[in-house]
Amino acid sequence: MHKPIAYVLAALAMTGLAGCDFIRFPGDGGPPPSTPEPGPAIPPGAPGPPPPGAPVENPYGESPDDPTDANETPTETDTPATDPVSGDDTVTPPDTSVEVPTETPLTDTDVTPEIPADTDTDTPPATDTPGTDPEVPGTDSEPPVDTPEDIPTPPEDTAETPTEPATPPVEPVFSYHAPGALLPGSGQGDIDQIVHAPGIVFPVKSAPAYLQSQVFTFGGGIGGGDQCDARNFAYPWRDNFCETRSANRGSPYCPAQKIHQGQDIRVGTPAQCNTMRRTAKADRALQEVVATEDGVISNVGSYSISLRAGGRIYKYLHLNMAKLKVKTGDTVTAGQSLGYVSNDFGGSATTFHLHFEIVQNMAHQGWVYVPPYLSLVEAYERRENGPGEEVEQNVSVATAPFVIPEGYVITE
Amino acid sequence: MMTPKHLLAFAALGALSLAACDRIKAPEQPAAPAATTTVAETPAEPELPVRPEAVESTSGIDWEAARRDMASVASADRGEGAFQVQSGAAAPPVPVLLPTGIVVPQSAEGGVKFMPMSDGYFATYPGVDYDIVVNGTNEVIGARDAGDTSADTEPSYLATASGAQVAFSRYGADYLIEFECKNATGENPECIGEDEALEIARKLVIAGTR
Repeated sequence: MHKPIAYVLAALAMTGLAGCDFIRFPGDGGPPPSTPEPGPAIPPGAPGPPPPGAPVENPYGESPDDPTDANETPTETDTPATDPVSGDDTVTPPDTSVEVPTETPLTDTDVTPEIPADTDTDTPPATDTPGTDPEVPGTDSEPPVDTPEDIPTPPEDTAETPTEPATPPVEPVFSYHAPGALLPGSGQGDIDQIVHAPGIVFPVKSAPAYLQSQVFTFGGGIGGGDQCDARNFAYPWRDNFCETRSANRGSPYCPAQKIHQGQDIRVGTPAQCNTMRRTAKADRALQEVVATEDGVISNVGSYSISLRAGGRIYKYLHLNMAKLKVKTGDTVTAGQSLGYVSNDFGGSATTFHLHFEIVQNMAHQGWVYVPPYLSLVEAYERRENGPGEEVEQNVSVATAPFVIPEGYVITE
Repeated sequence: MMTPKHLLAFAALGALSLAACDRIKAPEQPAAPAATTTVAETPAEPELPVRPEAVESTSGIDWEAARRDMASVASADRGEGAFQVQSGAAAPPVPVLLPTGIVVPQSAEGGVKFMPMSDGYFATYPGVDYDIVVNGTNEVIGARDAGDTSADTEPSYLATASGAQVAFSRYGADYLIEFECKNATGENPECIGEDEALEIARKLVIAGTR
C-alpha cells in the first residue's frame, strides 16, 4: 500500500470514529439521558385540576315535564346567583372542555352496559397525564438539545442516573376542603377527624365523584337551581357529615344534634346526570357502586343496603333498588359491584347521588355514626393513584351554625 | 490511484470504525439500557399523604357471666325456633343475643337469617313496617382493656336516615339493633318510635355462648 493512501485511510478512520456519535445521535453529540430530570415539587397551595364544564342555559334540551322523573323537573329560574357549591358570590363558570377531572381514563363502557354514555365527557385531555403536563413548571424536563453546552456531561452521568430517586412528581388529582369545613351556613362539622375506616375501597367504581352537600348545592332544597348544573360536578370536595337536618339524628362527632349522618357523593358528569333524568327509574345503570370492604350484606331496605364488615357497617342509600346485584346474606369482597347510583328514596325522590354512612363500634362509645370524609379522601386517592390537595380556608367561617327557615323540613 | 482494493479497504475501515466507535467513545452504553429497564420496572407510584387512622382491637368477653345467664334462661324463652345457634368453640366469638316475640310475616319467612362472623354475628328479622337486624361484635375501633365489662351500657336509641338503631354493650361485647324501615319515604323516614325500639332491645335473650 502506498503511503499517501495509507494516510488517507488513517485520516478517514479517525474522522469516522470522531463523527460516529453525530451520525448515530444527530443533533446532540452524544447519547440521550435515560431519565429526564424531574421538575420541582408542586408548591403547597398550587391550584388543582381545572373545574369541569360550564353551565348552560338548558343543559337537557328536553321538556321540563319529562315523564321519566317528574320530581327532577329543572327550573331554570330557580338558579341562584350565589354558587352554593363554593359559597362564593362570584362564580367563575368552569371550563366545559374538562368535564372529567380525574387523571385516569374512564372506561364508561364498563359502567354503562345499557345506556351509551357521552364519550365526550369521559375522555380526559391528554395533557392531564401526571408528570407530563407541559404547563406545570418543571415537570416537562428539558429536552436533550437544551442541555447547556458549557456544562460538560460526561458519559459517566448516564450510568449514575438510576441511583437518583425514581419518585415521580406529585401532582394532585383532585382537591378537597378540610374535614369538618362544611359549606358556610350549612352547619358545624367535625374538624378533628381521623381516617375512621382506613384502607377502604372508594364506593364508586370508576366514575368521577364529588363529595358535597345535596341540600345546599344546586338542585337542593336550600340551594335551588338544577341538580345537573355543571357547577355541581366540580372540585373541591366538601364534607357534609354533621350538616343541619330537621330530624333528631345525631352523632357524638358533631358539635350539634339534628345532623346529616353520612356523606353525600355526587357522581359522574352533567351529561350523565341528564341522561339519568331521561331514563326510566328502574333502568338507571350508569355508575357502579361497589363494596368498600369484604363483608356480608346484612340488610336490603326500601332505599338502603347495609354491608357488615367486622366492627363497621357501611350503609349505601339511594341506589337503584330495582337493579341491585346483591341480597341480604350475600358475602361480598371489596370492590364487588353492588348496584348503581340513582335517587331512590322510598316513595319520594332525591337528587342523583350516593349517600354513604359508616356506623362503627367505637371503644367507650359503642355503635355510632362516624365521619366518612377522610376515609373517602384516602380511598379516592388510591383509586385515582394520586394525592388530593387540601384547600385552605377559614374554618371558623365555614362552621357557622345554620338555622332552618321556619316551616322548612330537611329530610335527605 | 484508487483501485477496487483500496475502495474495499476504505469500506471495511469505515464499517469497522462505525461499529467500534460506540465501545470506544461510550463504554458505559451497555449499562444505560439496563438502568432504563430498572426504572421502567419500578411502578411509578406517587407517595400518598399519611393521616391519623383508627386502630382496631378485640374486646375481651365475660363468658362466665354469659354462661350464667344462659343457664338461667328457659330454653322456651330463647327464641331458638328461628335459628340453630351453635354453642361451644364453634359459636360466634360473642354471646348471641336474639329478640323474642318477633312476629315475622309469613311471606318473609325465607328472609330470616343468622350469620356467624369472625368477629360476632348478625341476625335479620324481616317485618311489615321494618326489618330488624341484630349485630354483635367483639371488634372495637380504639383500645379497650381486655375483659373490661365496666364499659357495658344500657340501650340507647338513635334515629337514622333509614329508620332507627339501639346500641348497647354487654359481657364486654357490643350490640346494635337496626330497624330498617320498609315503607319509609324521604318525607317520613320514621317507622318505629323510641319506646318500641327500646322495648325490643330489652326483650333480647341470650341464645348462645362458648
